[in-house]
Amino acid sequence: MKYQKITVILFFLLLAAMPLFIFLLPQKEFSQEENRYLADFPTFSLETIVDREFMDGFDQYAADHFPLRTSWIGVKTKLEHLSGKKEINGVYILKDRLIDKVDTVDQENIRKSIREMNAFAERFDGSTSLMLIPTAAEIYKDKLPKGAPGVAQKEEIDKIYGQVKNILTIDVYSSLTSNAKKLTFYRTDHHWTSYGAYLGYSAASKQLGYTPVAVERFNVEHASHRFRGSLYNKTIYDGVEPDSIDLYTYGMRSHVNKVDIFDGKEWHEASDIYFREYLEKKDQYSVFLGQNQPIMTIYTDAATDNSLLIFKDSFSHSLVPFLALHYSKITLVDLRYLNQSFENWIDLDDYQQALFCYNFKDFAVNNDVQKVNVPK
Amino acid sequence: MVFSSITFLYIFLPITLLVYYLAPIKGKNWVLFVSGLIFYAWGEPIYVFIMALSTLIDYTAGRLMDCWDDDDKKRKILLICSVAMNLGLLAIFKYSSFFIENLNALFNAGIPNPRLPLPIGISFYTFQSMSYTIDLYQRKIQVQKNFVNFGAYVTMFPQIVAGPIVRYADVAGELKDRAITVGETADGIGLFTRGLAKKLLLANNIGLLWTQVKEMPIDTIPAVTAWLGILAFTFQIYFDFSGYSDMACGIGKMLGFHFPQNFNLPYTAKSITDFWRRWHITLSTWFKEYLYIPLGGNRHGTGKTIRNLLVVWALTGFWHGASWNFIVWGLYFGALLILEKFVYGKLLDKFPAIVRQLYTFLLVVFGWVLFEMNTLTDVGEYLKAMFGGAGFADSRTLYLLSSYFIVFLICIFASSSWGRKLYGWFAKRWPKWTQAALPVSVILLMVVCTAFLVNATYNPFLYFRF
Repeated sequence: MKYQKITVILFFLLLAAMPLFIFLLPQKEFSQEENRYLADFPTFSLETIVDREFMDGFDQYAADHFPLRTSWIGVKTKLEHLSGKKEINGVYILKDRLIDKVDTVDQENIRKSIREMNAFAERFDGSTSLMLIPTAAEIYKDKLPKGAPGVAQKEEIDKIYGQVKNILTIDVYSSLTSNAKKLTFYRTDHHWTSYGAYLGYSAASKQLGYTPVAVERFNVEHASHRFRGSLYNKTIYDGVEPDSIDLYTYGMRSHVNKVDIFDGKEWHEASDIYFREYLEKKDQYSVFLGQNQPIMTIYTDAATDNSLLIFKDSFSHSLVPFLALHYSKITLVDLRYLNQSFENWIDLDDYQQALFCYNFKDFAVNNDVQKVNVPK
Repeated sequence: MVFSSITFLYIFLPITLLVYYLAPIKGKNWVLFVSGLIFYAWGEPIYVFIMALSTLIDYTAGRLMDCWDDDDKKRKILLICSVAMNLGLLAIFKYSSFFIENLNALFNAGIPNPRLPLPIGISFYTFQSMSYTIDLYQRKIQVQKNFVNFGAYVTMFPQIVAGPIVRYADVAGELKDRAITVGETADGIGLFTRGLAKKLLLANNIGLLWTQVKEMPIDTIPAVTAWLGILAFTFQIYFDFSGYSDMACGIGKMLGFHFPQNFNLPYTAKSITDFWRRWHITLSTWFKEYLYIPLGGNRHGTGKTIRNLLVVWALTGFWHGASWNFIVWGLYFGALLILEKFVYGKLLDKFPAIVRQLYTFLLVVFGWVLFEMNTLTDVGEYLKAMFGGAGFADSRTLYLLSSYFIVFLICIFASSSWGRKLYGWFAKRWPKWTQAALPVSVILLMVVCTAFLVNATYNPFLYFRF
């Protein structure tokens, strides 16, 4: 009887405590650990009830604002890993690193993307290049658990390269693989490291027409030693060492004059391509050009009139510090965040070169590239 | 709403229980009725009105039957109305697409298909309501004059979306008067947490393996992978379904109700006949009471018995979903039951227990292939894969096996009778410690389940077709 009483009391205490925590504690809007905004409390009305928006929103709110949310996720990951699972939330857990799983290729989507890129190259007066970056799952394929599902990214990229017309294709696979012993991808994040981006920069030199600066001539600043990135956020797995973020600089001073940023509504100006305030936050990769923005233009003091237009995802952010040495103006267009033509803000005639630069995982399933030719 | 959600576990359940315990005796059924409607409306804000309407009609049918107590003709008409209404709801919301598709395919009829979404739990609550009017007609029970009490019976949240199918007769007494004791509540809490763990820790985890195998093109699945996949589903459906039933019975006990047991270690069954006495017991009982026996059962010779069994099992299969493969699945078991009853049942008894158990388990596993594959062509393809149509094993097999090996072991243990035996052995030796294990296990399971709930990326509701 004694233990039955204890059971009843403990169970109801636990049950009663949680709603108090969820609703009465002051709520965060943003989760630093997971690097995302948490759900707002849903609007209550007849309409939102009938279409179940209220209920779904409520479920999401309760889950997002659950007390100690990230610790619970960590416990789950640990238990699943202990039970022998090698892949958790789409992330492979290896001894020395986490790797983003890439197991879907939407061929129809890729076909459409190729068509639009070809059409762009056709209408653009300058030269167009394409760089598809294989992800860590391809570069560190040998480290993945045996038999783990995955896409042969190299083959897929070659197939795409064979189908583009009037587009110069850039092979980053070779140099990333031959340098795989060094850290070309972060251990806890899906992006390439600055060194990986350097390899991309030298791989692109012929197509883009510059002589790459040798790697020894850069000053490397270890800006952070405690970076835990997107893959950590998905798993809250702390069995892998945190990453360092390296910033590569050339010469004594910055070559960047200013950065114009369009956030979708208005333009801002920043003075540098490094946003050092992010080193103090969780989302440290954003030290490279901040968070994704629809349009960013970087003006440099490079002694050239060359300008480059890049259609990009966040991988390009760590590529820009290198490219900035060779262009007086670089514009980054993130088609994911634009629902109308980028030419409403950008004049194509201002650029001699265009570059499509995407990581393979997103390119294979996202259709944003297909917005490159939407009419003004 | 489903049990395995933060909203239910940490918001709906504590608030409802608090109000329920604080309410005076007379108000408790009100709390059940209203909370049941909210629980149901959370997932079905429109269809909740259909449920309310069906409840009202069955209640009225009951009252009128009572009114015309000596007019058998009128009573019969009322019964027919009630049954027709319930079956009609099923026919419209669950089976109309199936009928129209088949008519169109057969006669090229071109009837437009409305494709109504299936109201959650409709197969459960219509069967529950029918048990009331049928039993009342047969004078097995007394009429329920209080609408709230009847409403509480139909809409009671523990069992409304996934059973057990509680017959009115099972809870008639407790609807009027019930005791809520610490001992029963503690038992209920234990049962509930074990059910939650079955669903969240076992079913969801092993289910992930099945979803991975199901995504592969069937003609490329090597034999071992095919077996791993269907075994994973075998465990997923058992732990998911029995987990739901345990949670329902557990909450029932916290509320002062005793719902009938729905699963009794079905994978330890020693014959198919035995399996169906242990699997979804309340459904088999329902079909036996309200279909098999009224059809004449086994009292009119072998021929009629076989006919009755086939009818009952075709319909049992059809109850699980509006698709041919479920009918075939039902008939498959009907045929096996007939064989055991009339052909080799006696012979089977002579084999050692382990052989009988293996025989039963394998036949059930093959049954799940029929159940899970959407077309009969896929069934054939999958069976071919299980017998090596695409090789024996590959590196992916090894990956899946090493990823899920421990989960498999836990599933095997949890579906066997060893756990019960071990518990009994401990309880005899160290009764004190065994009692103390209850609060410890409850808190431990709740903590682990919560961890799996907060970040649940795969948490399916399997009964959307029932």
